[in-house]
Amino acid sequence: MFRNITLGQYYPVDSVIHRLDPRVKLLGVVVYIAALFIMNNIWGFLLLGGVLAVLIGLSHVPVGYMIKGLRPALILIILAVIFNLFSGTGTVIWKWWILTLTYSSILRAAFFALRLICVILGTGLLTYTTTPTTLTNGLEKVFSHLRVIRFPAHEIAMMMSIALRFIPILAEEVNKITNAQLARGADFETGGFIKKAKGMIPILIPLFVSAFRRAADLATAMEARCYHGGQGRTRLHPLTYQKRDKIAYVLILVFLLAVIALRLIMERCLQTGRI
Amino acid sequence: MQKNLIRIDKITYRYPTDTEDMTEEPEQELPSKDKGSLPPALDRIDLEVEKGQFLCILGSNGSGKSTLARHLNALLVPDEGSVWIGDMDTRDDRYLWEIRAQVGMVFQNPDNQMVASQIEEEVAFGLENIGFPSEDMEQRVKEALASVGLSGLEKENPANLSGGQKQRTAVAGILAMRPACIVLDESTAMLDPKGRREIMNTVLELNRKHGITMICITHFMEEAVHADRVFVMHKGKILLSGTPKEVFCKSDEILEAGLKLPVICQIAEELRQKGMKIPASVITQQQLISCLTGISENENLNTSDS
Repeated sequence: MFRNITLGQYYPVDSVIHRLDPRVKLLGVVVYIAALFIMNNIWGFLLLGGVLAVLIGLSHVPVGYMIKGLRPALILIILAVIFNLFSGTGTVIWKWWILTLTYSSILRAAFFALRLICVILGTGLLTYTTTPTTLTNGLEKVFSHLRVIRFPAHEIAMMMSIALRFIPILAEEVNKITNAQLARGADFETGGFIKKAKGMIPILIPLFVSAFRRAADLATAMEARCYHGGQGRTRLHPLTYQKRDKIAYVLILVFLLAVIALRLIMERCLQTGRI
Repeated sequence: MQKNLIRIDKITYRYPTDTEDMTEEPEQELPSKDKGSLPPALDRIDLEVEKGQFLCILGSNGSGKSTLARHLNALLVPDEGSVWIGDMDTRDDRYLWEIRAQVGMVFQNPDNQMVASQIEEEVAFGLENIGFPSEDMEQRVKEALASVGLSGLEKENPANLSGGQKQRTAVAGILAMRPACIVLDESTAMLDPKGRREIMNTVLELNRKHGITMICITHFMEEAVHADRVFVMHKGKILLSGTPKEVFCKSDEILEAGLKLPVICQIAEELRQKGMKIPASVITQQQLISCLTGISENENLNTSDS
């Protein structure tokens, strides 16, 4: 079921993207997602797709591996497309019952799907090229400025890194439990949606029980190794900005400005009717 | 002049009767009728550990051996009596982190005690927690990984390691903190024979070469034969103590504790019953072989004489 889950897993190769400071990459992802929503025309998406392709190329993460990360989100994408497809206004090209299809809705559905795919690939690129520890290190640093309003930056970062660490373990556990229940004659394949959903219960309950047990074990082990929150903690690899990080910051800024400029120019063109 | 590293003075510990807390102690599976009046998990235990010793605490499920282990680094504090690490009382909160840096602990499940997704980060976790300076950390991590024989795996994901390697990583994570003592709480129980051998060899080497005190908690009798001292626990009490040779002679008490003699001792015992003269000091395979070859040579001599 979760056999091929690759979402949010580090891909250990060396590349310029891997070596970037996580804070740079975090800002990059935020700017990229913002850009996806600033863009509203096909040229913009071509630009954004091109940028993503270049970044994936630089990261040395195989494209197939990246695409595989899309699979768990496929249903989400399809649902979003369907909802967008039938909720448009404007020139009607097809109508049945309450479902109406318009040019603008087709366009919007296509853009929405592209946006979702780009968001997933973009954030995927972040997690494939950044170890969970480095990533949470970065998040912790970024959010530590919010400590004045008692934002628990370290705690959240720790929880995230542990969650990421346990994804493969729990995925394996799901397989084991599924097999164990299959051996007892459980049926996960036949029946309708409700029956299948009910069939998940014998998997989920043992999974939760075991997850809680693991959590208790881990808490004891962490305590035994002197873990007592973020106070007075040092890091193996403290984050420091290199030259490449500064260059990357500049590039991100240039990218953001270019995207905004492109949108403004396109709008001006539309207004003057010269497209 | 602190000769004894750990001094346990008549400690008694009872788990809270609330069954929710039972999950903390996996081996404490008592029959449900006893839940109302739980017998103490530890019953007036006395124990002293000298620096540099290799200790083995044996016991079947529910004997209280894991509970005892958890008292050694203040994960649990006794209801009565006291535990001293050097001259620090485990009850004193001021020494809590110092005690835990001094007495490291390796647990049973290799997956459930790893925090990080990279070996070097995992090994550095303890150092990070005690606020060790970042500049020297990498060196410590390298040394620790080298002493458990895992050099070169710094960037590896723990998920790709074998059980034995994972447990050795856990040992390295403790070694990096330069502890005086390492407690292995059934750390070999979930491993295959190969992984078990890896851990035992690592532990023996660390004890012999680096003089780190080792306290090995197990129900595998074979792991006890190399220990300096062996304790057999039963129902929260120490039933037997002494050198492996002394302990393995007392087969009745060992059976009473719900344990089995090591295979070699069983073979020796059965040979003895068949009338062969095998000294009680034979507890390893090597000793048995040399003893048996010695006997057969003697017998050959006897037959050739007559």
